Amino acid sequence: MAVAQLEIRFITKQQQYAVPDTPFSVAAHISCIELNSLLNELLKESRLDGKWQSVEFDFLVLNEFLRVPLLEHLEERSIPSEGTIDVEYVERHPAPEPQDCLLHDDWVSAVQVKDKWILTGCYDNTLHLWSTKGKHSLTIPGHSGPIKSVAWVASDGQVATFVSASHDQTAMLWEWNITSNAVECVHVCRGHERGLECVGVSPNGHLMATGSWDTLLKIWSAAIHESSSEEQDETSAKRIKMEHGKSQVRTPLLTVKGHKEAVSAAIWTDVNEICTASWDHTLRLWDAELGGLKHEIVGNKSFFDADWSPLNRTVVTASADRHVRLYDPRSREGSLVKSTFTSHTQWVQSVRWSTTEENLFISASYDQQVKLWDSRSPKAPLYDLSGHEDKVLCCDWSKPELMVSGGADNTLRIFKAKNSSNK
Amino acid sequence: MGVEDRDRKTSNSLKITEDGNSSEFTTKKQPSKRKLSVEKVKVPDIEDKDPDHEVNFDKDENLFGTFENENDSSDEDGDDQASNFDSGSEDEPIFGTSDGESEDLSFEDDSEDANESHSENDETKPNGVESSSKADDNKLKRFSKRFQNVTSISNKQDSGDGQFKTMDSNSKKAKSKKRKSTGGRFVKPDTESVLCGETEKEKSDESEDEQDTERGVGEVKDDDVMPNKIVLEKKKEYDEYEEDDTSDEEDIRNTVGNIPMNWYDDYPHVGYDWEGKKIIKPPKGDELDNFLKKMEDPNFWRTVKDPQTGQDVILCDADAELIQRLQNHKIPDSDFNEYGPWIEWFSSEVMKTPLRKFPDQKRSFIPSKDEARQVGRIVHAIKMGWIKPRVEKPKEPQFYMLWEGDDTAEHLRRIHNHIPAPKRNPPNHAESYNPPPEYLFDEKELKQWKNMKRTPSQRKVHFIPKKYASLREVPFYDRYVQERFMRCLDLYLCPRAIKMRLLIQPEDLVPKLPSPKDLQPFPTTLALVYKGHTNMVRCITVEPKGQYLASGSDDLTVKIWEVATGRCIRTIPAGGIVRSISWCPNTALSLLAVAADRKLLLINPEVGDSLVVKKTDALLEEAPEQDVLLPEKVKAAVQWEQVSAKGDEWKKGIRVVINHFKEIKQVTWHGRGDYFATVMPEGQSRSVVIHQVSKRRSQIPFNRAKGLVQCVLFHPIRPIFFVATQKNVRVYDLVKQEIVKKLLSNSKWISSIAIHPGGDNILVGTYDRKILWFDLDLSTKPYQTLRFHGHAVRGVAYHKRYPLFASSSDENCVIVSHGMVYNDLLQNPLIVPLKRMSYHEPVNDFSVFEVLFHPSQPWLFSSGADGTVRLYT
Amino acid sequence: MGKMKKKYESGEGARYITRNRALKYLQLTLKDFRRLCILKGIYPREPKNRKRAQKGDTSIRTLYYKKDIQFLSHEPNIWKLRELKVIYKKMCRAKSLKEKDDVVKYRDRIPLLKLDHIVKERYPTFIDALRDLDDCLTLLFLFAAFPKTGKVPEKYVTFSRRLTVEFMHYVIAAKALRKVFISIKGYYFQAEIKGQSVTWIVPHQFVIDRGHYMDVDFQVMLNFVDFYQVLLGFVNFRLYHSLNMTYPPTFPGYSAVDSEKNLVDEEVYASERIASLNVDLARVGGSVGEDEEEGIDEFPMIEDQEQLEELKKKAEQVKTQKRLFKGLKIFINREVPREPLVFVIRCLGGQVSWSKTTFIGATFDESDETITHQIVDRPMVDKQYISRYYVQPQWVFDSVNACELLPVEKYFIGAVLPPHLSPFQSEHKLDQYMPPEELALQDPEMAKQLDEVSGDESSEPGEDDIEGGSCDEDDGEVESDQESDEKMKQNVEDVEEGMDELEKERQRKKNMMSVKAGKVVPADPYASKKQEREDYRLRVTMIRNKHRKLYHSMVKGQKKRKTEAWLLRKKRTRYEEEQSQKRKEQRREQILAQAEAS
Repeated sequence: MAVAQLEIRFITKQQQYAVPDTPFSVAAHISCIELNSLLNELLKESRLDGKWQSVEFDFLVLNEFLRVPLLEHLEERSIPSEGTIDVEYVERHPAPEPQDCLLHDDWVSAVQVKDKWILTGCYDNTLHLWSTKGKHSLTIPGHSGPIKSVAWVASDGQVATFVSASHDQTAMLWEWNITSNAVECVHVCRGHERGLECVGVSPNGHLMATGSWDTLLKIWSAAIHESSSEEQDETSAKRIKMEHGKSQVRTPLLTVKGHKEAVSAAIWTDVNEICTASWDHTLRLWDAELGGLKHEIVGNKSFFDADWSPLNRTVVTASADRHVRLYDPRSREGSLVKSTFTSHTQWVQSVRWSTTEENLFISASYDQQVKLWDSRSPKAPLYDLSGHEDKVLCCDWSKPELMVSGGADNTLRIFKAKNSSNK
Repeated sequence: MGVEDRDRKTSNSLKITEDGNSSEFTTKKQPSKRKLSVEKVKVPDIEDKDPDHEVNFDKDENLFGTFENENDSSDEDGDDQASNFDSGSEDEPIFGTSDGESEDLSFEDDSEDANESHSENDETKPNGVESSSKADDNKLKRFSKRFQNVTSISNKQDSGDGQFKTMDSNSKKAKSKKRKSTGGRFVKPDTESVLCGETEKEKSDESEDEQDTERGVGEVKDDDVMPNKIVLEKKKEYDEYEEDDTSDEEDIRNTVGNIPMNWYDDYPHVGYDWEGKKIIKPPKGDELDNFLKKMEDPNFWRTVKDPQTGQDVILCDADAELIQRLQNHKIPDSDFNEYGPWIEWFSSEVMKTPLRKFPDQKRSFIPSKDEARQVGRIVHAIKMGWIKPRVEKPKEPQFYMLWEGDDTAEHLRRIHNHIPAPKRNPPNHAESYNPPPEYLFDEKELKQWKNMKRTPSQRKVHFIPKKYASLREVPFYDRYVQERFMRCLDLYLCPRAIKMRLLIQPEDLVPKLPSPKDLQPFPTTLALVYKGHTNMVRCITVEPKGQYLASGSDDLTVKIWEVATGRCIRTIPAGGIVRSISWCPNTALSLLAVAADRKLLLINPEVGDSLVVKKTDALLEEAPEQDVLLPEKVKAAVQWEQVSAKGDEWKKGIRVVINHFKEIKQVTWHGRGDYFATVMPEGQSRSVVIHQVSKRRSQIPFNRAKGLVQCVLFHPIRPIFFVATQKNVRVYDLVKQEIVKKLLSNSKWISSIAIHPGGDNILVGTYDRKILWFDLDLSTKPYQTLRFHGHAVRGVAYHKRYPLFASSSDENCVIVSHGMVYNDLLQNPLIVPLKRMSYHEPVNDFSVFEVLFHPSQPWLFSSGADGTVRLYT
Repeated sequence: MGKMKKKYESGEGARYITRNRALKYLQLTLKDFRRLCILKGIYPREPKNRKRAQKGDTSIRTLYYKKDIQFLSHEPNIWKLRELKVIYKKMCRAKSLKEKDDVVKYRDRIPLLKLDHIVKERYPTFIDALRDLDDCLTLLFLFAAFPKTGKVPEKYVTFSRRLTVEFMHYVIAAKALRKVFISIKGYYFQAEIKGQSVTWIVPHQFVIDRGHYMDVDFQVMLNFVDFYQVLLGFVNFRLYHSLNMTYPPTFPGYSAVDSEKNLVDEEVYASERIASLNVDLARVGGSVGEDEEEGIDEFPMIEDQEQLEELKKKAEQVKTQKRLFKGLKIFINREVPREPLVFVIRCLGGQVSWSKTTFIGATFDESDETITHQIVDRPMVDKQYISRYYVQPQWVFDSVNACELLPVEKYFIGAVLPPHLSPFQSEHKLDQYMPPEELALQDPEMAKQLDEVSGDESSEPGEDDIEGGSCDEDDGEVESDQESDEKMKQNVEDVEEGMDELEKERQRKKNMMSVKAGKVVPADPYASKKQEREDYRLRVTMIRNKHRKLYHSMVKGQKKRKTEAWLLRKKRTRYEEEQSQKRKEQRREQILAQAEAS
């Protein structure tokens, strides 16, 4: 049969791989592999000195990754196959490697990494501190309910503070002396009437926000030694003391009422702007000072998690179905859902953006998979990170080198993320 | 008809006379006769004939008796003549034998025909033309016999005188006759020659001959009606004339009559001539000259001695030939065609003039006056038109232009609303003599076909398809006649009725419903499985907020789950099979009502708001003092039992135990969460008990059993209480203490009941596979009966917010349906089945027990016999 | 006060009457009643509600309309029947007393039932009569086929012979024949007369056999024949006059009328009958029959164009069919069943003849050079002429149904005939099986396919492709597996040994961890269909109760038909495979033979 031909032109933003943009005509059903070989050939001969180690590229056609034969790709998007098609190519993001597996005594329901330390929260009401090397440094009891969310507030060389939110309706603010490896609960944040679902710390680390099953979002100060203590009169301080160990109760600065269902995620998108995701199918943007509703996005499923990327200023959400959706809270027109990422087969429980690369994020799902996505390829993820033997409850990628995920198989999995060489 | 016969007869006789002298006469006559006799086949007449035949026959007999001797005499002389010859010359074998032969012939007829005469009459009929010779001499005999008769008759009629002459003349005639007869058809010359000897004698008595002939004619007239006879007589008379005019020139010398000549043997003379002189015998030569004569005379061999006149007579060639023919049994006449068409003288046909042996009476020729009178009368009657001449009936229907127009119907009385018979089905390919190969039977089909001999109507085709290589091999279809007959039977015997053939497709019957896609959201897939129970999970309930789920199982435990993660938060041993469990709808209380066997446990699950948990504990810490005293009936039925705060039961979460006197099947809360009702199907009149948590008090609303109570239900808003017995649902007003209405489910056994949050639609699941949607405003009959399931329906549920309801059945499937209830009362609820989900494994023919919706999300829980609870989203 | 209303005095109860009551009412014996019903065309009716119609009796009786019975009671022939009874009584008495001429007298008195008015009653218009002619013709043709010496009174046979021949002559003269079909039961003919399509069956060569008469009551059939003869007579009369022809027609050399002659042997009769078919009828008005040029221009009532076109096409087809065999001289060999062939060929304007020596009525001789076709049934023919085709009889029938002269190649002497399809199955229900030949008839390219399939089995490229694809996939999988293996290995390598339980566990778990490149999950193409089917199945459960049974029965019927069609298709494919197998083997043998030869 006569092979349909397509005319393509290679373009790239990565100058070290630039090739002359002369159009080629290739077979219509050409796929990534052939394109790769072709491109490598080109590069090789473009190199003066014939030496060139081949590089894996990914190809974007109308900035969507090419996953299927070219013709199909075009047809799917109903693009006329006449004329030259610009094929942009980027170096393929290298595959992360499994690095470590940290065992816990119960479900790992919350995790966050800060430069050398991994903080995890478990269903047995304890917090754990690990080194990124996988060394267990501390187990912190204190909560009386499963911990649903943890977050680092700040850490300098020897002292680090973090917060944990639990089903016992409290969030606890901890201070950890790294050198002495001693941790103490500085503040207990009371005020929620039901179990907490999430906690988010503001970029500057002064404030934190917690969402709970009582449908409220509460904003607290995340400072440890703030002046509030001395303006408190003795009696109250005493009362607090006697009431709760040596840690003192902290009351919310602000309570934001509005959601009808549990608030499942609270992310600071700006110094005084919070984005919340809730079971009542809505994403909301709040003003952290005034507590006023800025913007509301209504989805069709209840949200379990959301994350906001400062790089591309969009929100990626995990909801009560197998899709991961990308919202742009700023856009006021067009479809709310920018794109839908479908590869999971179960509920997606947690999503996290890459902090360094604007297009990458990971998602953790009940189908025991953690997937690394590029926002430009909605059909298929870049990589599947498998290993969990039960539901994956949480994941984190706040440290660019590490992707961590905790699951119902009482383990925390660590994958080493390789950065593409151009960085 | 008598008349006709009459004149026919006369005409006949006329014919006879006029064209008598032609031998074709009879043959000519045959057809005409047949024509006459065509119409009526007269079988009987044949038999009728028999008797008078008999008569004739024995007449013949005695006649013969009279004759015999005379005949014999003639024979005798023949004989000894022969002997003479013999004595004369042994050495003429030819002649001698011949002569003898001839004589014998004549002799034997005479002797035979006595007994044969009649038999031949019928014999000749059958043996047609096959052997002519035999037939011929049969005839011959017959003729001779006839002749005898004739003579005899003449005898009788003659007066005594001159009897002699007549006699011999007759006899002479007879002889000649016999000759002729032997000669078959009567050829002139030879008769002449034969008679040459005796002719002069005949000449002598011409006159008598005349009379004789007349008489003969007369005889012919009256006695020979039979054609052949006629022929004979005709011939005879005809010859007579001939002879006469020949015998004129002849002279007869010897006057002795027809006497045996041997009387003259020893006289020199033989008889006397006209002058009365003796006729001297010619000198008889001795052997020698006799021999010489033989030697020299060329035609010695044909010289015969005339016995009358001792003269030698030389036979003519014709004579000789005749004799020879006779000798070797040929028909004497050489130019007679033996193989000519056989004229059947004696046939089955009845002739107007039957064959009789005796002459008809004269009167039969005179037209009878009486008949004439009758005829006259009939003629007159016909004239007057009293008698209608018979008209020939048409043998087959006559056709004419029956319909004047092609489609113009003229008004007639017709059959009442006629249903035309359906046409035969047109033949299909299978019926072809050379069908496509796939239509032919293979062995299996053939066997099947054969097996259905008993019930042919169930066959797919009523014949066995066959394939023939070529057209000429196709035989007559063996059941063809039967089929036609069956068709006839159908046409007149089969009751007809007009049957509507509907041209719709089955798809058209399926109601048009909005597509499920437009009715989102509703649960579509399995999202989570809550594993942990080790036995079947009978009941589940969700915390009002929707964060937690409680399930009761046969493994005697109650488990609290976190909905979102499927994490089992807590397990509480219930100490009995948990048949029903219900979360207190009051959000100010965290309380769980669990029906375990005969106990009803109030459990604090200790999840959710800790304050609420504490408050609940505080509330249930100690029992409030009873101010009113309970009636005995209630006391006997239920006792409240406080769990001590120290006991480990308390630690487990059990706060209050209410002991019932029978097994509890169901527990359900009132909407406000202070009252709850328990159902004990076995406790007849006390099967329903209503408890109040705040006052720790129970009461029994009904004092009479209305049948086996299955389940009860509180109205969400109004003070209305539903009690479902086996067959129907009673609706009570709790304030007025009276029954409002009774919903009739025409089903055997109600299994479960659910009420729409709106409060005026209830859903009833039954064990006989039906789901009944009652609209309380409409009637007591179900507004719609839904047959979603193939098995017993175990559970039904409404969603609190979304227009959804679900049902579970034993065929391990859960069906989610859209049940929209509109606010305006005119619009009927819209019911659309949306999704069928079967994920539970069946465990000894239980599969799904209870279905339940998440209070806020469009999620569905189902508890199964496989020890799991499943969440569909 | 109003009259008290009794039960069953009105409505269905009053409308029907059982047969016994009808007999009482008419005072007839069952036999006479049956005869009368047959003649008058009165039949039982199925009541809507049997119980009510039978006045509360639930047993199944034959019910007639009371009105019909009353109508019957006014039939003049009833009196004739009664007379008849008397006469028969007298006659047998006379017989027993041997009073011959009385018997004769009575025999003469037997009245002939007049059925003319009945015909008119039963068929108000001529068209009605035509519409109901099928059974009539079929039965009469059967009787015409009966031998005269047999169970059937001979006058019936002769008369029906005459009528049928007359009818056939009409069909020939009017060129009304449309469809023919050779079935194992007989020859089906369908003629279109005044817009009514009349179908009848002519049985195959009749052979006397007891089996044929098994459980057949000839009395009933004779009663029918009585009526049908009259009917057909009148119909013939009118038809002949519509063609301006005299009725009854006279056929030279054919004497169905006088019976004695043909009593002798059937052969003579048959051949004469056929011979008579071969001669034209004397028309009254000269060549009126040539008015075939009726234009199909005006269809006042029809608006839409394609329907008009449809009609035009049909008319055109009919016209071509009418003169299909025009100008053909067809010679029929011995042993070929002549009657149907002659009839068909003459209907479509062909000339036909047969060998003089065997049968009378031949118009031209075999040696005639102008003969175009010779119909042969035996595989071999002694002397062949080049100037003509030798075809098997089926060619004629198939051509008629196809409305065109089919290519004769398939029908040559000794050729294996293509299947003979029924033209009556043209109106197809949906999901009914159509043999490929029929499809071929409908569109030519199918025919081509069919031919080439039958010609030589096509090598299946599809399969090969599929295989190739599959094996490729396998390779891919294999590779991926290898990759994973390698990963495993390297993981194994960086296991440090010597650690406690926990560590081991941890290691194990760690080793389990793996990273795969994301794959595109291909969307299930059937998902939507499946979804739809499921939805439909659910909707089915919502059918209203009163339709449920109907629906299920319909579905069942559909399923049954589907399965039957499927079965047929399967058999066909199997058969074709066998055939191709055979052909292959033959070819192989040939090749082998050649090899040996060389």
